[in-house]
Amino acid sequence: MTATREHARYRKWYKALIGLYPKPYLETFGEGLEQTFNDLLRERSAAGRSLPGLAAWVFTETSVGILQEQKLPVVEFLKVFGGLFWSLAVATVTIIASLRGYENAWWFMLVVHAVVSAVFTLLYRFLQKKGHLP
Amino acid sequence: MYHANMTTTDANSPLTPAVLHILMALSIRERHGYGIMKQVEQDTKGKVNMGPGTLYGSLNRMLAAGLVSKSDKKRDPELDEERRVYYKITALGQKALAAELERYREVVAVARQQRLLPKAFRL
Repeated sequence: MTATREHARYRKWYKALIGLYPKPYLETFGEGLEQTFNDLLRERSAAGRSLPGLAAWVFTETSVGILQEQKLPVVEFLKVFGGLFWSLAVATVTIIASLRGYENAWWFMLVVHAVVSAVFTLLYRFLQKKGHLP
Repeated sequence: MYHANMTTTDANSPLTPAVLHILMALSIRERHGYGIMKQVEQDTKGKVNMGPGTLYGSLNRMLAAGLVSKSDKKRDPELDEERRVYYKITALGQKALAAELERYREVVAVARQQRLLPKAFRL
């Protein structure tokens, strides 16, 4: 594979990754992030060093940055709706457990809570991406 | 005024290591993102490798805090034809940097007084 094609592939993946930043952040820094990543790729290639190591480091480091930038809206949302959500989740799980005769099966409660949490989080992220939530 | 995400509240409060290094890199002249990264790497003799996520996250907070400002996009003749955003230190940023360096000087003075420094660094 030529260096240009390899660069293009990494740049494409990086562009997809930084798409997870909040929209206002992406509008301000998206172009700079891409340019800087491209500069790093070019520098690494010119030095004759391999790109996967650089890509792994930058992708990990940027993912941490995305989590940090995304944290506030999620925390604020949970502050408002967290109590209501957990009340509903506990009630739902308790009802399901009693209907199925699993009142004392802690693992069942734990698994259902995890699934409900995951579904709710994904739903929240989807609605947020569509612009319906902060 | 500083942004809520920063650990500082005024120009005399301590800076995070990333903010300190960025301010030092910009104290010489304005730079674009990659230029800041390379200057930090050079200043620290390669001991600090700042990635794009850390760099732009810090710049975001520093812009909000008024420590740096953006200048118009322009080309870097040493790189390519792309136009880039340059960042420059503000008066508040210079004040914060000076206060931080003074704090470091005081810490080193105390360490020297208490003979905590390795022999190689003693005057």
